[in-house]
Amino acid sequence: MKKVMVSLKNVFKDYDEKKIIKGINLDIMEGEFLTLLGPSGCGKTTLLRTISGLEKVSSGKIYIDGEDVTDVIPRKRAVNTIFQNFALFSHMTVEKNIEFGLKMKKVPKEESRKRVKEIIELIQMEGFEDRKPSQLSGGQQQRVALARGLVNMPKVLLLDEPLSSLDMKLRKQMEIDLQRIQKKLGITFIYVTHDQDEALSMSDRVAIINNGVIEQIDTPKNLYNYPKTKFVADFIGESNQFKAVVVSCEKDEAIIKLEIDLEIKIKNNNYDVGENLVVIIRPEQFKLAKERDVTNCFYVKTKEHIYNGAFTKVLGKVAKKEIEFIIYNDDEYTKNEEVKLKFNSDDIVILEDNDEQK
Amino acid sequence: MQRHKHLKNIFILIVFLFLYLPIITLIIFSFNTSSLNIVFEGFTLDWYTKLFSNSALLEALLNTIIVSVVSTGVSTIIGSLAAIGLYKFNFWGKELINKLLYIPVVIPEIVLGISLLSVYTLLKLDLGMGTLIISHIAFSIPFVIISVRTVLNSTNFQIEEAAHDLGANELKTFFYVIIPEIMPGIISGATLAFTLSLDDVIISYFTAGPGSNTLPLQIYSMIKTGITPDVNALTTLMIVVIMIVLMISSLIQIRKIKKEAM
Repeated sequence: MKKVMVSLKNVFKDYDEKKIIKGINLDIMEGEFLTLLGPSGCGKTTLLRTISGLEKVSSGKIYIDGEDVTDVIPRKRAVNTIFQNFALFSHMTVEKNIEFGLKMKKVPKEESRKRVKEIIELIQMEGFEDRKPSQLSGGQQQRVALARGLVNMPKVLLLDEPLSSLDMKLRKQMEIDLQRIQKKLGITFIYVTHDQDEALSMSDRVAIINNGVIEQIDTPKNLYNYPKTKFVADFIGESNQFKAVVVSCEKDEAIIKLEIDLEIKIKNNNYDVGENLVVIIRPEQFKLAKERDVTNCFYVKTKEHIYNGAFTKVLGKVAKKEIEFIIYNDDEYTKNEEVKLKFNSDDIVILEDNDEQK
Repeated sequence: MQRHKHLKNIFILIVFLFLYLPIITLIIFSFNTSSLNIVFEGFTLDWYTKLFSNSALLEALLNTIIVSVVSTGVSTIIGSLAAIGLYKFNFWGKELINKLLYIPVVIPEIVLGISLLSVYTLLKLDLGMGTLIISHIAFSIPFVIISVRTVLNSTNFQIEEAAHDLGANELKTFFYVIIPEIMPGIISGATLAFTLSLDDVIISYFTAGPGSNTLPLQIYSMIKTGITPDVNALTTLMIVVIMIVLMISSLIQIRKIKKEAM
């Protein structure tokens, strides 16, 4: 059983009347790779900064390794931050940059030298010790920034969109490196990004932040397969969202009517007749239907085909509703004006339509 | 093509002659036996020996060095701190101060000289080295602030947060991170302040008193009675000193570039 490394208890943060973080509770385990994912302006970076201490909370408590650090200044917290634009000291060499934290903590020279050497090996930057940051590529600067934080052996490493300034190819490589380094050192990583691919590929768990609150926190797989809110379904991956209304309820089953004029049978989950629901179907959950299929089938007028190598994304329209589905290239499919689709009602996600209640 | 190349070379030659001919003439006449700067009669080093026995001139040289060094030091420290303060903090009237900074830069020196003089008279300060140094500090500070601010504007101030995050307190952050990071701006501000102070005539003319004659003022008073070859000798020496300083600084720069290229 792993212990809780970082714990946020009812954290609020306001800037001049404007509420940025509205009551966040979050436990992060030791050695976990947790990502705070959300659109820009959702408060994820502010949340990260409250953990590093660079931002004070308006109310609530923050614990790191069981210790209340709410009023502890940044340099006394056992965390380090990797900043979005690296924030390397441009007048210092790579080695001096990495050494800085150890020097400030008055680590003996011998040990300091050993740790700097080890970390430079870990980030595969041997031979670059005497270079200045301006003589390095973006990816190399990124590694140095990472090393400068990691060399202090923080209990938690906070990463604020560290890959956003790198190009696509480098980013993919760094994603792999980050995971490798994190697993090797076993340090808890809290990672902030607005890029869902980054979040899904690296994290143990992802917290989806929207409007200053956590919408959902779960493993990447569960977030994708079982989104709990419309926002999460929309933010993670592609999704078709259908408004639906409960038509009839029996003991175990309920019949709902989708806005595309299709009635489907689902498991009854204490629904009431007339209740509004949202049905979420991922593009890849639609399959081509055969002539003889009858349940959960409907016809789509196709509008656009977007070829994507292994599959083709198709945009279509059913009763004024735009939908998106995927055709695998080995499927028996010819570009038609109309195509019959089916889906399995066990796979789809059904949510209560909160908007209607407000 | 060939003709264009010649035209280009001739043009460059003319530009260089225009820039350096007066200086070369001056150097040549400093070795002239005749005291008239018209014809070269013969080679002599007399003017140089005469120069070193001219106690008024040597005293002026010493005064100039004291004034320049002290005013550069003080204005660099005040100017740099002011630039950091103006950059980092928001306070009432900040915009106004930023605009006002340019007034001493664009105002005619004679106005600044007169206004400083009237302030000293009002405060009943005796003119001398003190008032001279204060005046030089006053007109140097805006130049230092502007020079440091240029570097600050291109500095990512997140390094300050990074330093705190890595365990540095305010003082260490300031001395180990902020100051070295903006050092190029500080150095160019200091250089500017030093050169401005070194050859200032107008403001010094108003604010210097007895016993605080500076070199430019001394030369100015000497040439009222015609340019004598000992002034030529003095300026030649100054050129030599400047050349040596320039050469050393370029050598350092070259070595630095070579080291970084490795």
